Amino acid sequence: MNKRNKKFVFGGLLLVAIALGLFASISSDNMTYYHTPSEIINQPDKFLNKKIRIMGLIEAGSVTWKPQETQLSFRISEDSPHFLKINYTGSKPDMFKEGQGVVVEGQLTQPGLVVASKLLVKHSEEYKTKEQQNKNSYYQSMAQ
Amino acid sequence: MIIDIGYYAMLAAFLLTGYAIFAGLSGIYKNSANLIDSAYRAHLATFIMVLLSYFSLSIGFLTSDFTVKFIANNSSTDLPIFYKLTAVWGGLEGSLLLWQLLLSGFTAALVLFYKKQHKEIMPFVVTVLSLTSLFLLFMLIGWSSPFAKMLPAPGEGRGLNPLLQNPGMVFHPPSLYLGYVGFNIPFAFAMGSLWAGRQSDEWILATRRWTLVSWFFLTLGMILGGHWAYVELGWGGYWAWDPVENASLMPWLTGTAYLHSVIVQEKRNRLKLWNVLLLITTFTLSILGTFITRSGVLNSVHAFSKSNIGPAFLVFIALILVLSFLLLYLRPGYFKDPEGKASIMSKESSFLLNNVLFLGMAFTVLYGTVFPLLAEGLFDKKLSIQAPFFNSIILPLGVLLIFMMGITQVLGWKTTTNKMLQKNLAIPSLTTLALVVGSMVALAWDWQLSFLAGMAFFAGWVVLSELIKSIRAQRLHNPKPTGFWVKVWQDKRKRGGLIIHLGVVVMVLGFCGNFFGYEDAFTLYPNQSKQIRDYQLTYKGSSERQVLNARHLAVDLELKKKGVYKAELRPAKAFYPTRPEPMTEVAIYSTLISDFYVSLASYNDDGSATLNVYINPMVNFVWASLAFYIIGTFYALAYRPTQLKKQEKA
Repeated sequence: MNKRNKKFVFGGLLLVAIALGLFASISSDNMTYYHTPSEIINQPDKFLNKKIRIMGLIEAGSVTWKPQETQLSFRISEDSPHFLKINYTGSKPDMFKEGQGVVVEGQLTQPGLVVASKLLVKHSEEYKTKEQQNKNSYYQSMAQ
Repeated sequence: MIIDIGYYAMLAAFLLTGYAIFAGLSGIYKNSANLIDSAYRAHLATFIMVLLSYFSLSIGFLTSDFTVKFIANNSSTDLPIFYKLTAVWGGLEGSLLLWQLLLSGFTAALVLFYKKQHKEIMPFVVTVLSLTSLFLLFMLIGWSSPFAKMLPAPGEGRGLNPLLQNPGMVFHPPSLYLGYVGFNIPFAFAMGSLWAGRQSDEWILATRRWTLVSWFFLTLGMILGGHWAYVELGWGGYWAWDPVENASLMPWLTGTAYLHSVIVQEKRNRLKLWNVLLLITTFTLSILGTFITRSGVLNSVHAFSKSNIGPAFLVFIALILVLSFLLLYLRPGYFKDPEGKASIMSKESSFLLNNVLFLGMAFTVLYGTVFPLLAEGLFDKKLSIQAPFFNSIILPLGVLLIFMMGITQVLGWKTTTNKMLQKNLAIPSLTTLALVVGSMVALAWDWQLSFLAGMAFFAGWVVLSELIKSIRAQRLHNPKPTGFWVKVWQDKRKRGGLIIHLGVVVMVLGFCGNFFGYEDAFTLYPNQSKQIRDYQLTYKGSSERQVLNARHLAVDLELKKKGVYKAELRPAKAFYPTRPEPMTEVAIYSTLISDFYVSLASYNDDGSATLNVYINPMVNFVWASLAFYIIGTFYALAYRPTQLKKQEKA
């Protein structure tokens, strides 16, 4: 390999390394892990004021919808007696109803309360019947 | 009964394809023209059988034969006839059948039209194609058969997913499949020609039109898909970096890279290995895309392990890669580029950079789509990679790419003189620089917006001036007055490319509109109004109507702009008899410059309506770019390479 080629290879490798480093840092910044309500409830210090993404089922009887202020509040759980309260400002999504699975993205502003910036209802038709029998597999179906 | 004919026709197609491969291979190695002819006839018969099978499934849909599981799951008696026919590809099994129909149709067309012209390589080419056929047919008679029975038959089908009852969604899948199958053809030609041990590039010219048409249909498919998402999903946008969207974007990116780099091989005999690698990648990504969207892996990696179709796709992908690379390994020395270097300021170099950018984008999309699946499958960690990741990488790469798009137009092969560069680029670059800086300083634009719009302006300028040059040049060469249409229909290859690139500029300007968008959600009571930018929206009342097979509960809104009446908007909830949940029907007041977009989020018990309102500036530029792609592709297709003309005469 002559000197000129060496320079090219070295320069090329350097560029690739920089590109990969940039790539890795951007991707780790933009990766959000899914959490369960009990994880959030059990470790409030770890998640306080952090941006989080949570999956859960809407608790029956917990939904209040104030159309005038477009305020939606409800509680979610994962088949356990621990509930996480969610406040969301925005419109009520199409399939939003009790017992439905949701993905919530937002901030834990105080222990047990999440102010959501995004709300997604997960609806998978195949799971509607299995939902009651096997909540665990329902869970797995929710995160895409 | 009719369905049984379909199933047995499918079985026959599978056996015929198996026979065609066997006869083709024996013919090749025994050098027997009779066996090869027999293989060709088997390919034609396969097409007829698949066609028969497709018709029988369509008749099943028309007659609502719910003993067939696929029909019961995707149709209902109240479905309009048009949607009954298109529901054939409303689910996995039927869309595989459509794919197979296109693939055998293309194979038959190749056999009919190319077997004399490319006599030496055709047996190899169709054998490569029929390996994919064999795989698809194997799936179709086994794990994902659209003809599987369900007994006892339900009295009524579950109905076609209402989201799919939209013209955009009807033509989106066939268009994408045409693109996928289309890119299978240059792949088969490249592989077949290598396998046959031919060092010539005849396959490139032979597949030039196939490649263009496939690219066009991939593009069309994605635009239709984006438009469908825009008018049907009700969240105000057309692209969300959803895995399903990404799946179609990946082969488009590598296919577009190939479309450019193959020109370097055609003109300069370089990048031979690179081009073959791009074809392998594009073909693999189109299969991978189908795997990602259709195997259930997106719902859950765990759900996927239960289905059989997923692993089968993975095995097939592995097989493509192993066989392709084995062939490359067995043909060393076929990819030697000629001696001599090209300058940095040459078309060769700029096409290479263009390819690096396209591949960088494709890798980013692949990583962002597949990594969450891998993380879940391997480490049982659930995570999501969201739009900011894609935007923060794709946007800068895109800005560079559009800049390159402008520069490349004025670069020559091998090298370009500084004088030429100055003459063609000095004024546009300086103006663009001034605009970019000016928009950031004076208008306080986001730097991303300034660069994106600036580069679109730059590329648009250069492309337009090249187009004007092409029209003028012809006036100089041909001083005699000729008819208007004769003048328009000249210099077709160059103009085709320029027109398509102009379409890209228009599309990017449409993307820029996103930076000026507006969205809000609010509740209105009857006769209440709300001011949104220049618009005034008044809630008049609600109404119920029957639209085709759905009952619409609509709210009637009056839209005024600066006090002038503009439109009556009726966003609605649509109730389908076969679905428990209502669907959202959006209402859009559309002008060239901006869309006013309303969807009804909820109709509340107290008579109020909660609305999602979006203002989407320039969004119509994105759709309008399609016109440029159509005209440009038409021009490029009309061009016949001179070498090809000579070949045909000889």
